[in-house]
Amino acid sequence: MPDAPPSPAERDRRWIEEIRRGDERAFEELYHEHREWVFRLALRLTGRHADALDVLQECFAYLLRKLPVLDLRVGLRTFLYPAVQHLSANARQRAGRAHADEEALERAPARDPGAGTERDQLAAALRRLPEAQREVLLMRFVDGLLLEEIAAALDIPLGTVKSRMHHALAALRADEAVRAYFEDG
Amino acid sequence: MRPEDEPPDDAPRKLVSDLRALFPAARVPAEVDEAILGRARATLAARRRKRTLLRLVPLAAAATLVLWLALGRKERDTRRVASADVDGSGRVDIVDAYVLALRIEDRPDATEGRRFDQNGDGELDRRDVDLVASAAVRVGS
Amino acid sequence: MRVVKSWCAALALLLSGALVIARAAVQVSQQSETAERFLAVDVFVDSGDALLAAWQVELADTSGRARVVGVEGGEHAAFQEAPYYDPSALQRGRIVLASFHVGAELPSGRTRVARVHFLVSGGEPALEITPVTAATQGGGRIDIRTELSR
Repeated sequence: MPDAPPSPAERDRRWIEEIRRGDERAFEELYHEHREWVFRLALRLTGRHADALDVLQECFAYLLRKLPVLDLRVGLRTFLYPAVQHLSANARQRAGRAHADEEALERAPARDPGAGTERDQLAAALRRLPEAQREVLLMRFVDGLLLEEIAAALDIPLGTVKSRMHHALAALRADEAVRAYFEDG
Repeated sequence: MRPEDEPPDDAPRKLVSDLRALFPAARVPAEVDEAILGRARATLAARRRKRTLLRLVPLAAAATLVLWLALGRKERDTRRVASADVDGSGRVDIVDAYVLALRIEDRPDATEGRRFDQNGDGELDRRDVDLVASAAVRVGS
Repeated sequence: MRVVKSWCAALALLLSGALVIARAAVQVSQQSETAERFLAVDVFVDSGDALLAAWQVELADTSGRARVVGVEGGEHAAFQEAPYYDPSALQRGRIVLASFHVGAELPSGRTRVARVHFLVSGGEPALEITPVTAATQGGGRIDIRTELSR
């Protein structure tokens, strides 16, 4: 029976071991695997393309510095999430801006005018959510992290993550503007 | 059932896809890729060179020692082991490294240079400071 | 008598419900406790009015649940680079951190000088910080207060 393919976390750990031995190709593979995810997250958190590119570069520079001493027990994205969050906050601070999520949500419908009012309503409904609930919702469905990974990345209990997710979905379900998402087939 | 015990991923597919559409992915320019990968290659290459040097240094040191003994060198280096307690406080800590760094900036005389030359290379520089700092933070065996 | 029996039944029902909830709470709490997680802890040094030119602190986890997995610098430009530490302290629960800056731009008051990343398992760690020494510009020793913050 063939071996099961490695899990993403196992694959990340193997790459890190190889990079520690100086394997440049392993770094390239790791970079290409996680690059889009880091950039997309940075774009969501900074709200600006140029700032997101800076964060992307700083994030992988940070990872290179940490590699010799990094003992990874979770997926790399769980480890990188707080780093991207911190670097993005620095970028926003340098630009004198506070909440990128809300700014991004305000601009979101304008990026795709053909999308109609449905996404406008969704963006507005998200802005009405408490920040902690919105964060968990977006980390799960936009950043693609599992609940356990969200708990690890935010350093909060899994129960808290589940609770915030439950309340976020309940709030959207109760929101007249977006209730239709929960009623369709 | 409490909220925390319910299966939490019960979100309609269209909701999830519209959420993702609010934050679309964007392409990373090729020159940014190349900048990041180029830096990584340089860093990894430098670390490989350092590891090679560290492997060679003990060999070189051993060879030097053998040569020195074989030549029957009579003149011995009677210099005391350099003191890491730069400020004479009675212990080695980061203030010693700081004070040594300040003295290096002030261009020490030859006597002081020999006294605090931690690595015995005849120079008083940042490498000696790093050695003092490393001794300061060493966790007890 | 019938009323007393009814009250007893209601009380028994209430208590057994409470027991079920308590057990569930322990299960949820145990699940959270056994999961490994990262913990980033900020290290603050307060030098009062004195300029902070050099500092050394010791961090320890007395619970045995936390291991150091990474160290970063602080906020002020003088201490943005990662501090000195003993690499053999990594993977243990005790670490000595230290740094200095020979330039003139030095912080005073409460300053974040480092961030330490721990990997925690089996519950909450018990982190302690102890100031070892510090110096102001020129090398004169000063007293400092230290603080950890998550």
